[in-house]
Amino acid sequence: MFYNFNKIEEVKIRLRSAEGHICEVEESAALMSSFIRSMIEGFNEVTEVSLPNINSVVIEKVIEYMRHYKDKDPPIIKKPIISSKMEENTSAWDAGFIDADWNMVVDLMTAADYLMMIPLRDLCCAKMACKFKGRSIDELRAEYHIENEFPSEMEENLEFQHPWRLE
Amino acid sequence: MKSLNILSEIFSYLSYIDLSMCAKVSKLFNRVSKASSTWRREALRIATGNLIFYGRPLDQSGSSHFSIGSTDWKQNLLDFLNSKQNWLCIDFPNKSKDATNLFSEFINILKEPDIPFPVLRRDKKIYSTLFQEMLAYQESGPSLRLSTNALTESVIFELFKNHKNLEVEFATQVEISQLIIAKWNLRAKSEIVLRKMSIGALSSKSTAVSIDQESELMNIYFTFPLKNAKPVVLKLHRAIKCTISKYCQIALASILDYCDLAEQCNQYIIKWNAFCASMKELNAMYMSFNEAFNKVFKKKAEISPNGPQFSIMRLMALQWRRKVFDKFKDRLVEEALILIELSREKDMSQEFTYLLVKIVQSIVDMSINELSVHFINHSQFYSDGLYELLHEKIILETSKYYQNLVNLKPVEFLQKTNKDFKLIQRVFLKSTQNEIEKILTETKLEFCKKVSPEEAEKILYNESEVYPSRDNLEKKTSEDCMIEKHAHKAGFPLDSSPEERILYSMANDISPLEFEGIILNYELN
Repeated sequence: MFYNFNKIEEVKIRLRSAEGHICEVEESAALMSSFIRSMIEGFNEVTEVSLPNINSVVIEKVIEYMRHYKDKDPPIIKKPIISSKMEENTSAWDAGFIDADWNMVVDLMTAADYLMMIPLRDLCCAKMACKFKGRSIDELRAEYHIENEFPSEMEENLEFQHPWRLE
Repeated sequence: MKSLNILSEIFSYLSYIDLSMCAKVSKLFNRVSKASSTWRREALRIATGNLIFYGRPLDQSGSSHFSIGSTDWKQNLLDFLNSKQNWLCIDFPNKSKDATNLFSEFINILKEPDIPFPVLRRDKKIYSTLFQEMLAYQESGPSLRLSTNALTESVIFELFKNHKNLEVEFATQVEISQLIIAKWNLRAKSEIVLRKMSIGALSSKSTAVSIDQESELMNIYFTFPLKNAKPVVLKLHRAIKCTISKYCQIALASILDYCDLAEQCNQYIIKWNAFCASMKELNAMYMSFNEAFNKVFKKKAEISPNGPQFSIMRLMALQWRRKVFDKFKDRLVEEALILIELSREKDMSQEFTYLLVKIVQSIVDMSINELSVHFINHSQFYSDGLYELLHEKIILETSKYYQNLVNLKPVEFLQKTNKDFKLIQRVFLKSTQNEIEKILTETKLEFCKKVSPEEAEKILYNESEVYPSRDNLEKKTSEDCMIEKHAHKAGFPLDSSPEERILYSMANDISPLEFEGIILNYELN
């Protein structure tokens, strides 16, 4: 008898966002998150997970990542990063995925941390590290609105401890 | 996740240059950067790289089994990279460009040496480690890496092409004293010592210097930054020594980073092998420097007979011994004794036997010198270093162990002693084997008093045709005669003079007093 395995509907997990929206994702993809995995394994037949501190835009983004890496391992980003452009540090897909505005990256990182998705968290961290790479002190201070907190004698000392300059 | 944790996670993706920028931005950034594991990773990345050890890449990334030590990795990294300053003050033909290139090539070779497979080496039958081979064949051929070091070799050759000009640079006695200190690796810091040193150097050149002038020299010496020292030989010596010494600090820290004693020893062996491979390459690259140094020394400060020649290899080995081996040697001996005891209690896996063999070999490496290496397989070999201590400890332990075996049944006694002696033969040098064989023979004779004559015969004639006796073991074997003959051809006697032993010793620092004694003694004769 002919039996088409593809026809079997995969179990879907419903993720409830902060706004109360429901986003559906296949169970196999959702297992990438250790948080969801422990929920499913801990309470049998859980199909809905409530994520009150993640908004639905971010959840959609997370689901996109989960689906892409459902069957394969995400690439590992080498430390230290070699460039301030993400394309040179990781795969093209990852670089395109994380190419979002700053707030999105921060939200994504918080979500990844909450959901315990280490590869996604690493990707976000690397993206943020790109912002620090190859920048001078003044550029960094200006960008993050930090005023010089160091008294001058301490600044000399700092200079002595970190004599390296950007080339 | 707290924001501090996130920040430290982000910082872990930065290189040391970017991290040092961040550290200067704000107090928060500074605090996070201080605790960052990045310094450790960067120090290892810059100084030790990813070693390929016998064809297998050595993974240093896993961090779960590391202890959180008190090592200041940032300072280590800083010291290592700062040693570049010493290179920059050398007057190369193409000044700073050459210096930068030479420095980065130098640290590249320390970081990623070509570690040769044991099978590819020349005399693996006689010398079991690369270091022993290097000592025995000092004028060894070119290093395995052929193309990449062309630059350094040509720059160094260019620098020392004209050896005549080099001596002219040694105008003052201070510089000659510095040359002597450099050549003999003296740790002459105290004033008295230095005065004596200067007198030594002066009297050998028979120039009279008054006390005032002498103390003036002393002042110059202590306030004299090497940047202003003229002789290029001294500058290069200082640059190399400084970089090596900082590298050794990182190597030691990375060894002590492991919690487990066996793993520490394993890491020590890997690092020492890698260091030896670097030594071989660098020595070949700086051959013209070695020659120039020896030539200048001969003209300017030759004061003693038959000292060892200066070489980068010797310099590196001594730095390693001071910075790493001296601080780690107790652990090596401890682990060796633990492993021996383990093998006596139960069967030991191949892996541990291999570790034991390697530990003992690395101790032997640091207990020999250019003279004694030729007699390493001699039954009356006497080392001047740590091996002697190990030798004594092993003999003590073994005689205790054999005494305990006397109460066993004949079959068991035979099995246990055979197994143990096989291990001893595999691990230790001939001289130790010989001593233990004597103990074994005595134990056997004692044991035979208690058993029947047939069994006694079986035990005593076990696998050999000669009836064992103490007298037989005291005699020189035919192998000993061969070794003596070979060494004699090369000009090395087994019984070197006490002066030579002091001068050649790599295991002990020459104390300046001893050194002075040798000089004066030589001049009287």
